[in-house]
Amino acid sequence: MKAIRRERGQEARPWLKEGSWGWLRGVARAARGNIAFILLITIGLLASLLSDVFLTPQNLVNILSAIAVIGIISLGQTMLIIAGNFDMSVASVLGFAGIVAVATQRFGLLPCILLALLAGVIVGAVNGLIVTRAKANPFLVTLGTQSFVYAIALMATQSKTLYSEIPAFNILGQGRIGRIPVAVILFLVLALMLQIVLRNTVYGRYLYAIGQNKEAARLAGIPVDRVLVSTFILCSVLAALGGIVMTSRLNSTVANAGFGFDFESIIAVVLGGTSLFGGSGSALLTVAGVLVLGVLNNTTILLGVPYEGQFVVKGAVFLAVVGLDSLVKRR
Amino acid sequence: MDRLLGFLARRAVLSILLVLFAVFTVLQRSIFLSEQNVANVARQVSFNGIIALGETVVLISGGIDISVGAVLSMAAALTMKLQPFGVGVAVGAALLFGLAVGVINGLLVTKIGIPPFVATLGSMTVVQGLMLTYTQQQPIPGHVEWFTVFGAGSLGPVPMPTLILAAVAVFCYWWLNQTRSGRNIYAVGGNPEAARLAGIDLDLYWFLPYVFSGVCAALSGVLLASLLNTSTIHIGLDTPLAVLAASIMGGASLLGGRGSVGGTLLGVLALGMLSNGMDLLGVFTYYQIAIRAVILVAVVVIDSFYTNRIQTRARRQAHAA
Amino acid sequence: MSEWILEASAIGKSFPGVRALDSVDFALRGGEVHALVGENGAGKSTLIKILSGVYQPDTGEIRVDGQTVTLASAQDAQRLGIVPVHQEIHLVPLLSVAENIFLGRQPMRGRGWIDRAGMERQAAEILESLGIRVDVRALVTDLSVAQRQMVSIARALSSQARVIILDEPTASLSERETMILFEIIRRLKERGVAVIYISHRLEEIFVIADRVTVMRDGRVVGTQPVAETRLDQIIAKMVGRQMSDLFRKQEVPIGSPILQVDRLNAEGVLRDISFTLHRGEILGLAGLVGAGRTELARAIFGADRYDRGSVLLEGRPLRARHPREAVARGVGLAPEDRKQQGLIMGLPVAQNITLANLFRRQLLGFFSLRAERQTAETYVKRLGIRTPDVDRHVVFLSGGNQQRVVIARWLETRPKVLILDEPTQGVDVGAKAEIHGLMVELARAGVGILLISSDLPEVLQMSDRVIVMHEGRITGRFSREQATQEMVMRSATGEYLEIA
Repeated sequence: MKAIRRERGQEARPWLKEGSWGWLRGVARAARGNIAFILLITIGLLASLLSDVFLTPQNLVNILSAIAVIGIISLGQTMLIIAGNFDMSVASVLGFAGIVAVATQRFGLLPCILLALLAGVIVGAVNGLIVTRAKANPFLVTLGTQSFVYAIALMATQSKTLYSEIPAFNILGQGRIGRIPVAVILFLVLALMLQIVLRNTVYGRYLYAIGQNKEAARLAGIPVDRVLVSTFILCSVLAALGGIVMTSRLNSTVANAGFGFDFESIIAVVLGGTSLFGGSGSALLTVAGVLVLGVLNNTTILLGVPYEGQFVVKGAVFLAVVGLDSLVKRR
Repeated sequence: MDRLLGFLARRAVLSILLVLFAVFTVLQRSIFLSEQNVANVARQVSFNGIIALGETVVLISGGIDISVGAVLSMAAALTMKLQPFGVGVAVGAALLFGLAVGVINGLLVTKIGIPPFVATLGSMTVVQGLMLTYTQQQPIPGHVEWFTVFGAGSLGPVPMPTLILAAVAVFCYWWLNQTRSGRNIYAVGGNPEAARLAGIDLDLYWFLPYVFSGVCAALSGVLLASLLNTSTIHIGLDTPLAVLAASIMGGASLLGGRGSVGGTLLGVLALGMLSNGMDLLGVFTYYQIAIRAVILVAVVVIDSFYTNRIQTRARRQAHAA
Repeated sequence: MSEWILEASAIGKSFPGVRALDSVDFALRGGEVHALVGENGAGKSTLIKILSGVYQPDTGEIRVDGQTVTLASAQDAQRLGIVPVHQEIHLVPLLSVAENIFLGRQPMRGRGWIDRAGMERQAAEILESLGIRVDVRALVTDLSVAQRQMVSIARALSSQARVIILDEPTASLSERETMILFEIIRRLKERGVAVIYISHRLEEIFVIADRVTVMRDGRVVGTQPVAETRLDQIIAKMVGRQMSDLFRKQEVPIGSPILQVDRLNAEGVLRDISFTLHRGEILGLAGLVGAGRTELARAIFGADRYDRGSVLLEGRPLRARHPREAVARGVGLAPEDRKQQGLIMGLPVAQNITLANLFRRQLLGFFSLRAERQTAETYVKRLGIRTPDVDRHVVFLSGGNQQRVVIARWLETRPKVLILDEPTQGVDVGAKAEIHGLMVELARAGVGILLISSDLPEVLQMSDRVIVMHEGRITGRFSREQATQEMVMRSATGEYLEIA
C-alpha cells in the first residue's frame, strides 16, 4: 500500500519519538482500541441529556433500522480492509443491484434476488482481478468501476425511478419479527457469521495474514491473489445485498441510491477501531462503528441539526480517528 | 523528432487519444475543427486543466489529492454568495478557502502522517458538507453581470479561462523546471531517501503541492462560477477522476517523481476532445461517463504495469550487486 | 595535521544476541585505496555503516583529520565528507545526471532561476575530470548500472567527499566497465580522495588497492599493504579460525534422491544450476553475498520464476509458480529475512505455526482455536520456544525463538524437503546448537535439508556434502571429508573446484 512509500523517508518525523508530543502517542494508542465504545457512550450520554426521545425503545429500534443497510455494506468493506484493500464501488453496486432486482422481478422473487447478487459477483470479480493482476491501487481502480457501474445504472433506468411490483419482495426491507425489522436481524446474523469466519476459519486467518504482510503470507503458501479476488467478490455481493434490502424497504430504486455509502462504509469500519492499514479488525468492531454512525445520525436528527451538517461531522470524526491511527502506526 | 516519438511512446494512451482526434476530424470535420468548436473545447478544458496542473504537482511529490472537486464547488459557492460584499472580497475568500484546505491537507499528510488518499478523502467529505450546508443545497445565482467575463468572455479568439490556464501553466512550468523548489519536488517524489541525504526538507516539499493544488481548485471554481453565473451542488463530482486521468496520461505516476506540465495539458486536451467529439457525434451522456471510467482504469492499470516493471528491474539489478 | 583522514579505534557494536564488531581499529590515509575483505557476517557492512553515520558504535572513537567526531546520522558523515556510494540510494531516477550531481544545491542565476547551463557545464567538468563519459543531460533512469555508479561517484566528489565507500562496486559490471571504474578510482586518488573498497573479488584487490584489511567474526585480523601479501594468505586470514573443538554432527543414513535440480537458469541470476538432494541428507550451500543462493531457493520454492531447467521432487516434476504449489508437494522454505518474510510479526506464535498448514483444511471450515493452541504448545515444548504463552505476538520473541517458530511452522507441514536460508543468523549460541540438533532429527526422519549458510564452521559441521555458488554458478562441490574452509572460500571467490 502507500504505506510502503512512507518507509523510504523514515526519519521524516523524528519529533514523534520523544519530547512533548510523545504523550499524544500514548493517548492515541489507548484510545484507538476502544474508540467506538468511547464515542458511543459519549454521544449516547449527550443525546439522552439533550433529548427525551432518545432512549425510548421506538427510537432505539429506529436507529437499528436506519443502519441496517450501511451495516451490511460495512461488513463487506471490513473484510477487504482487513486484507489491506478498499472498495469504493460499493455505492454504485448498491444502486445497480436494486435496479437489477426490480427489473427482473417478472422472473420471480428468488431469481431476481439471485440475479442482483450475481451483479455484485461480477463487479467484485472485475475489481479483484484488476487490482491483483495489475497490482494497481485499489482506491483508484474501484473509483473507476464505481463510475462505470453508475453509468450502466443510469442507462438502465434512464435516470428514472423504478418501482417494485411484487409485494413479497418487501419482506426484507419492511418486514418485522416482533418489534425488530428483518433487515436488522439480517445485519446482525451476517455480522455474527463474519465474526466466526474471521476468527475460526482458514479464510479469515488468511485475510489477517495478507493484510499484515502480503509477501510473508505468500511465502507461507497462502494463495494471496485468489483470496483477494474472492474478498472483493464478497464485498460486492454484500453491497448488492444492501441494495436489495434498501430497494425492498423503499419499494423503489434509483441509480444513485447508494450515494455516499462508499465513504460511509469506510467511516463505519474506521470508527469501530479497525486500522486502515490492514491486518487487524473484526466484525464486532464494525458493528460498534456502525452503531456510532447510527447514533450520530439519530442525534443530529433529534436535535434538529440539518442533514448537510452530518457530512462535516462525519468527515471530521473520520479524520480524527484516522489521524490517531496514523500517529500510532507510523514511526 | 526522435524525442517526440519517445515522448509519445511512453504515453500510449495519449497516443491512442490523439488517434481519436484524427478519427473525429474525419467524421465531423466541418464542425469539429470550426473556430467556434475549437474555442469551446479550449474553454471547457481550461477549468479542469487548471486543477490538473495542481494535481500533477501533488502527484510528482508522491501524493494524491482527491479533495479538489469539493474545493472547486465550495469556491464557486463562496464566489457567488459573497458577491454582495464585492467581487474582490468574494474571489479573495474563495481563493483563501482553497489555500486553507491545501494547508490542512498538507499538514494531515506531513505532520500527522495520514496517507494522502485517506487524508484528502476525509477533507473532501468535510468540504462537501461545508458546501452543502453553506448553500442549503440551493443554486446561488450571481448578480454582477461583468463578472462573467472571466469565465464566458474571450480576448480575441482566445477564451479568457484558456488565457488564465496558460498563465498557470507558464508559472507551473517555471516552478517545476527552473527553480530549486520545483526540482526538489521531483526529488522527494522520485527517491525520498536520496532527497533526504541531499539535505532536502522532505516535509516541506510534500506539503507545498497540496497548497498549490487547493489554490488551483479554488481558482477554477471561481472561473466556473463566473462562466455559469451561478453555482450548483452538482459541479466537481467528476473532477478528481478526470484530473487524475489527465495527469497520469500525461506521464505522472501514482508513485511519484514523474509528470510534466506539457503532458498534463495534452492529457486534459485529449479528454476534452474526447468529450467534445462524443457530444458532436451525439453520444449519450451516460455512455460518456462509462467511457471516461474505463479510460481512468486503463490509465491506472498501465501506470501500474509500468512502475512495477521498473521496480522489478531495479530489484533484480540490486540483487546482482 | 594527521596523516590519517579517517580513523576508528576500538569500535564495538552489538545487536540483540550478536556481537557484530569487537574492538575494531581502522585507519585511512588520504589518496589511498583501502580494501576491506571478509566473509559474510564478518562485520564489514556494520563497520561501514558506523563510519558513514548510519549506525552509532557502542564503544570506541571515530576521528576525522585527528579530531574526534560523533556521527549521529548519515548527513553528519556526509558533511564531514564520508560518502558511501550506492546509486539506488543517492540518485533520483527521473532527474538528469547534472541535476543529480547537484541535488538540492543547484547553482542559481539571480533569485529563483536555476542556472541550467552553468550546472550542466560544472557537471560536465566533474565527469571529465574523472574520465566518465556520460551525457549530463541524460536521465538517470536511462543509464546502465555501471553509468549510474559513476554518476554516484561524481556526485559524491562534487559534494566535497574525502572518503568514498564502494561496496561490491563491480558486482554487475562487465570487464570493460570494471576497467573504467578503476581508472576513475585512480583519478580520485590523484585528488587525494580516499576510497574504502569492499569486494569479494579478491583478484581485483591486487589491481586497485594499496592496503587491505581482513575481518573475521567481528574483528580485524590484520591490515597490510597489498604489495606485501598474497591471495592465499588473505583467504587464510579470512577463514583461519580455530576449529579444534569441531563438533561434527552424527552420521545419518542417506537415502534415495528426493530433489533433483537440473540446469536451472534465470536470466542474470542463476546459471546452469544442477544438484541432487537425498533423503536424510544435509546439503550445505555456501557462497558470498550475491552468489545467488537465496535466488535458487526461491526459484525451487516457486517464489520467483526461472527461465529454463527442471526440478524433480520424488521423481515427479515440480514446476512451482507459486509457493503454495511447493508447500502442497512437501517443500518448505525458511527465508533469510526472518522478520519480514519468514514470520508475520503481528500474529501470535500459535497462528504463525499453523499458517503454512492451513491449506490442508476446508477454506470455510470451522477450526478450533483451542486445538490450534494445543498444537502450538506441543511445538513450544518440543523445540524449546521461550514464550510466556502461544498467544504472544512473535514480534516480542528473541531471534532464536523466532527462528524456532519458523521451524515449527515447517515441521507442521511434514515436509519432504526443507530449505533453510541462514537459519542461525542473529541467533545466540545455545539456540544455535539446538537448531542444529533439530536439523539432525529431521534428517534422521528422512527429510532432505538444503542448508544455505554464510557461517563456514556451521556449513562444515552440519553438511554431508557442500556445494558452493559464485555469481549464479556452482563453482565447488565437496564431500564431507574434502571440504575445508579454505577450499570453500576459494570456490566462493570464483575458483572452480568441483571435486565431489
